[in-house]
Amino acid sequence: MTLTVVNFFNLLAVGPVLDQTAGYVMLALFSLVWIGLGLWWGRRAKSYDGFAVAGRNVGLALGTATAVATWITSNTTMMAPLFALQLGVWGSLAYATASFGLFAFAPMSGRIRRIMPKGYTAVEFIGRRYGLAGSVPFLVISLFYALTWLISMSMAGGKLLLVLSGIPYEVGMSVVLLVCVLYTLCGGMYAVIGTDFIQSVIILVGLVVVAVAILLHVEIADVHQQLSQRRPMLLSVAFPAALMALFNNMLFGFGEIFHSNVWWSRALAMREGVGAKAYFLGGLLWLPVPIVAGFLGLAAPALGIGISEPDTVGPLVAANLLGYAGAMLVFVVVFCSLASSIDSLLAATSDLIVNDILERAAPGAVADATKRRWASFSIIGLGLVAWCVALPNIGTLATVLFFAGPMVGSCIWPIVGGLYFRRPSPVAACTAMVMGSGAGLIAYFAIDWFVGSLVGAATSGIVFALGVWLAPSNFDFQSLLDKEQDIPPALPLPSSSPAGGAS
Amino acid sequence: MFTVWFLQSLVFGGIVLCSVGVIVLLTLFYFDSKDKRIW
Repeated sequence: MTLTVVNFFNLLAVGPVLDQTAGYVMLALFSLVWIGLGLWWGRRAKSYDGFAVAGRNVGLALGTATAVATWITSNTTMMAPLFALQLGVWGSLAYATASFGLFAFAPMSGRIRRIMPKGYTAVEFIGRRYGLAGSVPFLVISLFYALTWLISMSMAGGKLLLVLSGIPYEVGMSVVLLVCVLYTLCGGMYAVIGTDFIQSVIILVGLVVVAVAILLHVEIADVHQQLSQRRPMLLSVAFPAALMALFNNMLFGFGEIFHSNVWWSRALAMREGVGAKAYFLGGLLWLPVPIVAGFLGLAAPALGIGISEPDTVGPLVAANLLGYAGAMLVFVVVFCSLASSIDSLLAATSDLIVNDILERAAPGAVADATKRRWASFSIIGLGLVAWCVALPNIGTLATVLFFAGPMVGSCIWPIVGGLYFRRPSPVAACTAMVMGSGAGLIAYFAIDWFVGSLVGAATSGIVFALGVWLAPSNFDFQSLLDKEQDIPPALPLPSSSPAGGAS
Repeated sequence: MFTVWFLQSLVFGGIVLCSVGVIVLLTLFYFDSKDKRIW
């Protein structure tokens, strides 16, 4: 989940909670582990199908874990406490509504897998369903969202490592990005999903340990009493901004998950029948994460921890209660949160570049080995672009990500309508995405961030309904399967061995 | 105003769900490994 209530990148100068040497040791250790795992799983990723969608045979354990880990970004673990600190109990609940996107995507993932079993990307579906009129705005929105998320996560890596351990921004950002590029390059979707499993377990265990440590130091009743005396608004049931944030977050979450190829590529990577269960379980496991992380923010006043630097409230609370071990634990959790999102973005965005841009531009069928090579080049290219943009550390750049809220919100109805109904037409989808994005962005600038996705999704919904009513279509879903059968499979080279199979 | 009881339910429920999540993931992994259905 990427939305935050404040400019995340206005991290204020604060003394690091870990010393620099410990930070470097941890960074080196985890870098070696992830790259080693990437190399290990990379043995399977010989064909493009293996590299892009892990052989389309991912089981329930890894499928569930990858949904959880990818949706836990560094914002979830670092910003949820701040969300709670600024918007109170509703803030935690608002952040938790992002899990509804995973629940809603659960049945959609099963349908996606059924109607395009050999597909690779969300843009590919929109292209087949709505033609060029739908795929062009959708591709633009998808690339904008993916690139801004990737850049903001890279910047977050540099900032967080600086705050946590004093590692210079340039070094931290470069190492985090380089490590993710290397292991994604080596192992493709196998490495991304495999590391996601380990990362999700580490993050969940880390959060439980920190939360239990807090409960050993302070009673929830004391937290409640302190809040009701010092900041009663945080316990208020009627907190207008927080209520708006709740619905806005939910719609941003729906838009993010429904449109992003990060989630479509996973749906296509999972074994038949696994997707719906994995996404539902993933939503259930993700749901408590912002609530538990948010408790760190709520507990800070009762623990007597000064909140002069609200962005770092999570690590400060952990370091105060658990000392050095707590700070190291937070470092590991944050590093895992960052890596699990950056690797997913690299893999899923390279799928868009290979399948929806390069392959379409190529004359004739493209060999499997060529697509595999293109995927490697595009991952390196994406890493380089993110590094170049993130290096100057321009804080305002990160706020560009929040423009994506209205844009992805406007994709909700065209995607859901296109997946399940015959009548939605290319005109309806195109105008809904364009007008919804426009109206949402106007609201974002004219009112505030917490109405951008709401207005974008609402406008898109009305325009889409009008479009379907005035210019209906009669789409034949069988044609999606027929088209898949018509598409010549990527030409394999004699030397390329199939990926996948039981481990 | 949210009650103490509500806050307690949220926090304890969250911690329990996170803990159950770890157990669920490891259990699913065990069964997937046993049936050779990880990938």
